[in-house]
Amino acid sequence: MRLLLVSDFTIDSIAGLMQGDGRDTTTTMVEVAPLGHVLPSLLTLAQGPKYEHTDAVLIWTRPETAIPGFARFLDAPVTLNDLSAEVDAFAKHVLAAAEKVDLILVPTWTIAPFTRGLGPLHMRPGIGAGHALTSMNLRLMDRLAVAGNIHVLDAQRWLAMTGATAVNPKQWYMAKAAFSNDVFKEAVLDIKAVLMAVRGAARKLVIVDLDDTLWGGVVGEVGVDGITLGGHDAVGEAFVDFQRALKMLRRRGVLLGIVSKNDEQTALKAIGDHPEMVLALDDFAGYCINWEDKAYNVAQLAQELNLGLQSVVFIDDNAFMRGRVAETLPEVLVPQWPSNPMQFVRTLEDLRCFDSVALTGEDLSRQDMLLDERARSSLRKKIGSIEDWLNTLDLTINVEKLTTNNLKRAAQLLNKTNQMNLHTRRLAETELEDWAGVADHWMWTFRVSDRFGDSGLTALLGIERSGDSAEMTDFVVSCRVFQRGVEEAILAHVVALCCKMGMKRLTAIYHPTDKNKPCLEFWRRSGFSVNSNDGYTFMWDLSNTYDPPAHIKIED
Amino acid sequence: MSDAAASARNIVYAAIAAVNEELPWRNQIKAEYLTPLAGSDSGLDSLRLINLVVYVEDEIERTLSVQVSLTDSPNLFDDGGPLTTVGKFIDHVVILINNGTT
Repeated sequence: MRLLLVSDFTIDSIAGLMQGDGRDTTTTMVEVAPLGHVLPSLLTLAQGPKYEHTDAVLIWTRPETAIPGFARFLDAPVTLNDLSAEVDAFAKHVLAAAEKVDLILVPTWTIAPFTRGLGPLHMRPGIGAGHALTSMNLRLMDRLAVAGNIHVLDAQRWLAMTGATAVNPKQWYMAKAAFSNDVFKEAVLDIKAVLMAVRGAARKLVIVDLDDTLWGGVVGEVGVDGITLGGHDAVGEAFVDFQRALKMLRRRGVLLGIVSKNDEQTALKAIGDHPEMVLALDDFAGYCINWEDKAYNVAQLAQELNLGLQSVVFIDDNAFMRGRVAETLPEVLVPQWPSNPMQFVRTLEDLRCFDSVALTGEDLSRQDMLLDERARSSLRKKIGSIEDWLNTLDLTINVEKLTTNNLKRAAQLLNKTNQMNLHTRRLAETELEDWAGVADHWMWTFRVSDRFGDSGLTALLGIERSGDSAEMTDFVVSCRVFQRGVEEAILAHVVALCCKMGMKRLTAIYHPTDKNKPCLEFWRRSGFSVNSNDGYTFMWDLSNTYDPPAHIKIED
Repeated sequence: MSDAAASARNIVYAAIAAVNEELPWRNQIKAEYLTPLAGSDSGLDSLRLINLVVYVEDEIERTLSVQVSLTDSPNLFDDGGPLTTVGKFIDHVVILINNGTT
């Protein structure tokens, strides 16, 4: 990924901090625009090809220089209307630049923490610089919110985390560095978290232990009434707050799971019966409560939820268990966990691995969908044969062309799906929209539902016509719905459409990655003929029909 | 080694470690006496050199409660001056610590 830094102060330190020890591949290249050339850089971004290979831009400015009225405000009051007009003008340039790059990050404006301004009048409307700055930041956030690829980052938090050394006047006067390196380090952690989110590398499942992790004490020893949770107890309150923090993650679409060495009945009784439990059993997408190896259980639970291990975070108070999981399953993030429960919430916040750049309906209802999936699995076990089970599902697929209504979710699916992904092509919303707008390009979206519920927009298919042939550019199916005949139904649909458009053949070329082997396996059994030379090119002669699975109903 | 010399060395080495965090790992400099700091042989640009000096000055104040004047020293960045090598810089810092006000 190529990141451009645009600033009116010396920001070069961020370039080195972004690249860290060389092992971090989040950012491949960082470029720094000329110091102080904020407006020219934004105009260049908006107009020309100079930065066409830039994926992301950080625009970090000081309020005194970005908004000249604010500099005057420090001498004599300026009306809020005047400041707002200048903020709008600045935002307009940022918005124009955002049309040409995938991602723009704009830290909020701050002033040095030691600035007291007019003391008690600092936050007074009309005369206080503190009030003016807050108003400017709110205005900026409102103006930039119209672009889904612009994210305003809370720079004030970076200063607060750093404390009294956030701004060092010596570094300002000697090097025009507006902030100390500790502020830059905080900023870099947040920037990397956003870049990870954009690349679809955010973690999706938190697996927690129970005893001394969700509550204090060993429930098998002290009983449900004896565990430390809530009440008039400092440690008990800390466990309750930790559960609240986990519940917040669940509301953001992150799945929760339990892996605990315990007697299952006892543990479930504690979760169900303890009056201070914040998390209910339904908050967990799955659990393995037994005396098996925890590493095995973590892998088992991830597989059950159709998630790769690189999506998993494992939290356990026991260093031995953490070591076992970390060494056996290196893709799982196993954070060092504090022994003091009062540090749990902060440690969870510091992980910064759950960020998402957009919250779609699918994110928010992921847990409900998993509960539906649990019901499906239960039925699958009861029925036995997979074909019999599929026949009971009443599976329906709704096909829609790519529109502004489904663009956000379609881009998210394209950029986050790894396993059933033909090309693993990553495109920002605007790029996807532009691509689909080209003549001879088609992009369809597919919503899958069954009698257990709606899985949402969970598949995409893109084709590009050349003469009398069509080639698939994207064949993406969420792991939530694959292996139910959805893939075959999508192929049947596109084969019929291509036939109708008078094309002769349809080709799909598989691009291998570390994670999309399931896609290759699907294509090998898809019925398309495979080119024996490369083994990756699959073709369908469109004089033949492709029969959809009988158990699926397709609605246009 | 005197207490001042040990403190100076530890602070300068810590400053080098801090500045190295800002540099791609290939460009990081070694905390060794003969490592050049200023001049054409140095791996540090002017920003990193200033950060190094500011870090050392602040750390001396913080850990030794001694006020020294590094950043406003007129000859600090001159060719052949105290920043020629890590060793010369440590020697300069020892003198400042010994002459500093507490």
